[in-house]
Amino acid sequence: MHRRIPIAGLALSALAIAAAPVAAQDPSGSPAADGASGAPIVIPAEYVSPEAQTADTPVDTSAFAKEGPWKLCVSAGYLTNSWVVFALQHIRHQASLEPRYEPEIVVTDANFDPNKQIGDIADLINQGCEAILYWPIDDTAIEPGLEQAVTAGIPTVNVGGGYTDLPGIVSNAYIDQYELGVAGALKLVEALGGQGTIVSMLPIAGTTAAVDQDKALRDVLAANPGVELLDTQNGDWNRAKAKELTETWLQRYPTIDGVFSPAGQMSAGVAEAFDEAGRLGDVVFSPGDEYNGWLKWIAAHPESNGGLVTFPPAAGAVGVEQMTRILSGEEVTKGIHVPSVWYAPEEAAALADAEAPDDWWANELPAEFLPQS
Amino acid sequence: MTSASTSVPPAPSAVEQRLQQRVPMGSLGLWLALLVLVALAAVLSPGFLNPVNLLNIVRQASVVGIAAVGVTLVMITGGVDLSVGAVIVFGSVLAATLMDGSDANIPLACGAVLLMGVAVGCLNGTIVARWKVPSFILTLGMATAISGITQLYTGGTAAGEVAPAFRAVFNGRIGIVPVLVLVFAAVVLVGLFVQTRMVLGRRIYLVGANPRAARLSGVQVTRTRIAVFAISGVCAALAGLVLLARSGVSSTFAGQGFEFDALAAVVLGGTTFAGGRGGIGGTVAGVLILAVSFNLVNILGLPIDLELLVKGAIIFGVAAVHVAAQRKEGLMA
Amino acid sequence: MTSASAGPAVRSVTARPDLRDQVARLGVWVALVVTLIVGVVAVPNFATAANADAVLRQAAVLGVVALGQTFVVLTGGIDLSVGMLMGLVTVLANGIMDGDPGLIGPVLLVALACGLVTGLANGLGIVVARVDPLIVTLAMLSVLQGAIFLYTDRTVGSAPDAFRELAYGDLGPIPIPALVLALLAIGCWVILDRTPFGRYVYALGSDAQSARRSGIPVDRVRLGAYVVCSLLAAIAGLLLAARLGSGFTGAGAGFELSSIVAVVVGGTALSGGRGGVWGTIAAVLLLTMLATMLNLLGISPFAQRVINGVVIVVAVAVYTSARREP
Repeated sequence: MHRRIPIAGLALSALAIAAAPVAAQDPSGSPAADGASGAPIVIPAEYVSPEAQTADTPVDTSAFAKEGPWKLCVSAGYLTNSWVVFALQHIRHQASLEPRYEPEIVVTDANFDPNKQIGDIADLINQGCEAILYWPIDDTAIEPGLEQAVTAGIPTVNVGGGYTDLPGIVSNAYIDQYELGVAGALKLVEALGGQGTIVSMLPIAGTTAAVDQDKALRDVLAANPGVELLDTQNGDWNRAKAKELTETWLQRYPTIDGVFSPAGQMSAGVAEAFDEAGRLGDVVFSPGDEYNGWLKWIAAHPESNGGLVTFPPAAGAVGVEQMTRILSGEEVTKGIHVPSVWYAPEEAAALADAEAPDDWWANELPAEFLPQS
Repeated sequence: MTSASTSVPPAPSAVEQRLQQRVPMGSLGLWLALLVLVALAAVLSPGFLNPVNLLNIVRQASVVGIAAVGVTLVMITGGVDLSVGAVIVFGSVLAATLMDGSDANIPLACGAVLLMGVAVGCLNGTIVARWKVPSFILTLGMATAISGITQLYTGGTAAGEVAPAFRAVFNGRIGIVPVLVLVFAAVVLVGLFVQTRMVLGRRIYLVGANPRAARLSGVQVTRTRIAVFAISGVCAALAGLVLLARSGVSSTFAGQGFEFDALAAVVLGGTTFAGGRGGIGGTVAGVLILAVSFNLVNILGLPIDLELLVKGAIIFGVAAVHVAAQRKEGLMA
Repeated sequence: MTSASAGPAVRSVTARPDLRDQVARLGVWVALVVTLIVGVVAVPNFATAANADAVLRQAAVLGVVALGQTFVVLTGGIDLSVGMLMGLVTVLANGIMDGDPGLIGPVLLVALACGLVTGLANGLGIVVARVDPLIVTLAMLSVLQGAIFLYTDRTVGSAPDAFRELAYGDLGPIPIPALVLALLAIGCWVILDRTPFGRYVYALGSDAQSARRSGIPVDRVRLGAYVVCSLLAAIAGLLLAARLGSGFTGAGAGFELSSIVAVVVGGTALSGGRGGVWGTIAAVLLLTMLATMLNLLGISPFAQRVINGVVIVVAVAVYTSARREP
């Protein structure tokens, strides 16, 4: 499987470090100026992310500075999801570029059990890990375990979860779910011309992603009363479940004008159900993310989709870079924003890799770092 | 596990055997419960009784339903198969990688997946039958191992590409009837035939009711046990193909809980852990009841908290009504 | 683990003493000792105080809920609702306390009340409505998850430092959660081995029909087993609440299965009537230690999963073969 999706700028823009506050001033959100690289997302100032308020706080890293070689370890909350697998591959790749990291990276998998993830972190401490990257089952539920690492002088960096300001987390390479939710909702409202009925497909109930995306949509709808939210369901990042829930929507509601679904994995299932019911022509979709199955759908159906707001697995690489700074004793901030990028439908279609599986992510990894058996 | 109400009977009582013959489609109470749920849904949502919608619900149930047919036969022998969820997921991933987007590979891919199902089933059956290992824990361990193998095989993502013709045919319709509903129906009919008309069917009940007596009367208990697990493996593999046809390449996430959906449907349908009774007819009712219940809960448009509460209430309520009705039937017979 | 010295002395009073059954019960201890030796000899950083500490703290949560599951499985039943009950207690406890140590007392009461109500509801559904335990507790799983989301749609609250001691504190050299597990295990052993209720549990699981005929209040015993199971799951939920320090809505998911695996690997038969507390404790330690060893060896997570599955299969195969009829 030597597949590669050549996208100039996707990973680059994800790697560009935006230390600026999340809610920036320019409300225009102008579409892509430089073609394939997509456009930075700028949400209007009235939408203030509930996360990341303290992301600019400087962190004193002197306690963590040490000479290499560094033993880098990863505590995964789960690995049964292609996004986290790609984030892990980005971690491996980025670490391979920095000679001070030991070549071998230890990875543990808690398989959705926070009790085990805290135990995993203890195991990593006990085997002499000098740096712990993690993505959590829940942003706060494993913090006591992380606190033990920090107490032992081991820096911890959150990769791709929500921004979390707690003592156990030295820094966050975070993707702002609220920000991408607002961006997606605004694009949807715009595509609907401010009028119509919509449904909302969210990930697993109770997760930061579901909570923040839901708040984002409701905030946008509060300012756009012409758009009515008919129903919200949790498709659990599961394409089959999203399709099933959509079949029920199609039965319940004779007219659905729009679908809010930020996760491409579910958007693909939702779109298929509309297609099979012969109602694809009646509906517009919010932007999804760069899940390849969704990109393929965009390429095949340019008329019915709202393009792309990325959810970059390159957050893994950003996390490694942040960790390198911490271990070098450089000053960092509590949060480093991994920005989502907007692609118009026709640009998004160009990102699709027809050769790659659906369960795949647009990326710039060298072939030897792609997931393989 | 013995059921709550009675301990393991030495053999199916005469009453039960008569019931079994008289009602090959499971108990009346169960189908009445299904009817009540359908009526309720029809009142709540005018579009519910639309044939296309009803068929869609059956199609949604087909993945779990096909796996449940196999699990039913295992449970009649007194065992259980919790590896079906992992086999479904591995089957769909294996099929997609072998197809690799090319129609020419469809027969090879389907054949290999079904063989994989047989192999897993035979392994399960052999260990259960020869070493008397409790099947609950064995198949749970097997599920963990298979999901690990799936991840090793793919490198963590659901690799592979489904062949276009495979999806076009199996996700299509003949008239208004989805092809997958026909596949489900065919599996049920074959299962019912095995259960009621074949020697194997009779042996399955004998083994479940009383393995010692079955052995004394010349039934090859070990071979029968291996056979039902092999059938269950094939059914799960087929369900994996159905999942692939329905949703394309999905994910390697084995925790989707297919095994417990199937188990719940079987037990709801009147087949108990004790073995020796129940059957595929009841399971079909159980599968449909669960499918209509979840649909009903979604139709109500409840927030997730109330949705889960109602779901729990329906599962328990239907089972309680069914048990009460069964006891009445038993008394009258 | 202090409790280990008590050994597999459990013997069901009604069941005939059976050499093979003893072998089956010893199997898990043999596996535990072998694993321990392999760990000490072959796994770097295994034989350290820090690792022992980590294993015991992680094992305590699973251990307590598995003790409760042991009661239910001994009666020939099963409880799939324990995980979500733990999750509900975790969410309620941290949500109510929200950092206030003054509310620890009320939270303990709330947790036990949740356990009591859940256990009674499960038990009544099984003995009064006569619905299969699997279906009753599966329905309860859904209801409890609904209750979690009724209370909150996201992670809530925080545990005050005094409460976190329950997971992270020490009493002398012993981690407090390990102490809690040991005390509860001794308590459960006393109940199962030294009280009429315990004898009835074994009798019910061995043969419900003859238990009923010999005048044992079968329904009340069954009800009692589910109540004990839920109370212990609620206590496990408190340990989990202290360990996580916040109320995560998905905290308990998966414990229903891992507790059953621990009970069965510990030598308690799913058909009921045979097994006991100490086998469960040994299995919990074995499974936790194994996960830790694989982590310390740096085995890839995907391979770890395969190994875990194979270990469960082999462990159960080995000592059921010791138990089977000749």
